[in-house]
Amino acid sequence: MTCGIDEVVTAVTASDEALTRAVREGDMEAFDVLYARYEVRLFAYVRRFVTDRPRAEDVFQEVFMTVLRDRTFDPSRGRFAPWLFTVARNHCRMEHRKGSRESRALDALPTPVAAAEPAYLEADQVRLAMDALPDAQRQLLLLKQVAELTYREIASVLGVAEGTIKSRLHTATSAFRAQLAKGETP
Amino acid sequence: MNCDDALEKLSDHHHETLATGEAVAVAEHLGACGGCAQAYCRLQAQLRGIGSAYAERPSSGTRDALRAAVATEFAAKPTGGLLSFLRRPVPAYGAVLAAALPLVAWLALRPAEPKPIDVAQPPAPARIHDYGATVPLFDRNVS
Repeated sequence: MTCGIDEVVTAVTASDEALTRAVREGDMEAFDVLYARYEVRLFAYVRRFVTDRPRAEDVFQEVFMTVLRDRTFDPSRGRFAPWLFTVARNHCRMEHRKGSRESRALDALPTPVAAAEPAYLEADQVRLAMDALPDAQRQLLLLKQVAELTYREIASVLGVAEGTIKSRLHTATSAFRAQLAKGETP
Repeated sequence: MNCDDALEKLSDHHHETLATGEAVAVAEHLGACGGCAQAYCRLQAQLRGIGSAYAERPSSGTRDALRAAVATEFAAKPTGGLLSFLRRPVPAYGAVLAAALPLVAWLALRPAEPKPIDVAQPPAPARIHDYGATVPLFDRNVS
């Protein structure tokens, strides 16, 4: 199928909600634009909770399909991003519960001898600092820095007031920096 | 604003949650104080680091599989427009409107009621024009 420049420009500048409507009507160019917008943001978010990469890819697909299929989401009324990340959060929670059951089963197996710890890279330091945070603070920082949601969108995902998000973000940022500083201290 | 105040507000300044006056005061302090400006750059780098530490793309296979699934499920059909019209969410007041529709139709289509007859004042007798039955024959203009 050929696609004129005007159509491409229209798709690129269209809102997420307009793209969702177009995808539901079978417009695959709209899907490509929507996918490109959320590919990294959504997968990075899912990957943080689902450590097994193939499983994370399955969850990523399920989340996308759930949002596109779900007719209770009316694109003309709500924002796409909070809905997408709310669904992702629920899927990750379910996956995490499943994982916990599996890990309890794995705990019965003998633990392999740990390899020598490699020197930490900067990204590893960040991950370690994030892992040390309470779940609520980690969620908040991920939604802000990885998913790139606005305060209003984060408030919608987490179901709390926008003002609460702002004050919690301040606390989470301080906690994250404190953890980084701990990691940097020899 | 001194350095302690500025450092305390750096995170809020980055997240743009300060009131305009405070944000201006922090920005002015950062412009004048090298130490705090450096601390601010460090904070920004650390927070950007969260995004880059987790930045990961799904494989191209995942993208292709998802695209194929979407294409199959939402393929444009001749009846697609009608189906999406039927499947669209109906607002809450839709039920009220639907219930009121037969009433509106009945009001619009019901036959007009006949005028009641006033018995006290009977209507004037109908006058027949151009009918010469009562007119004497000689008055008739018959040729």
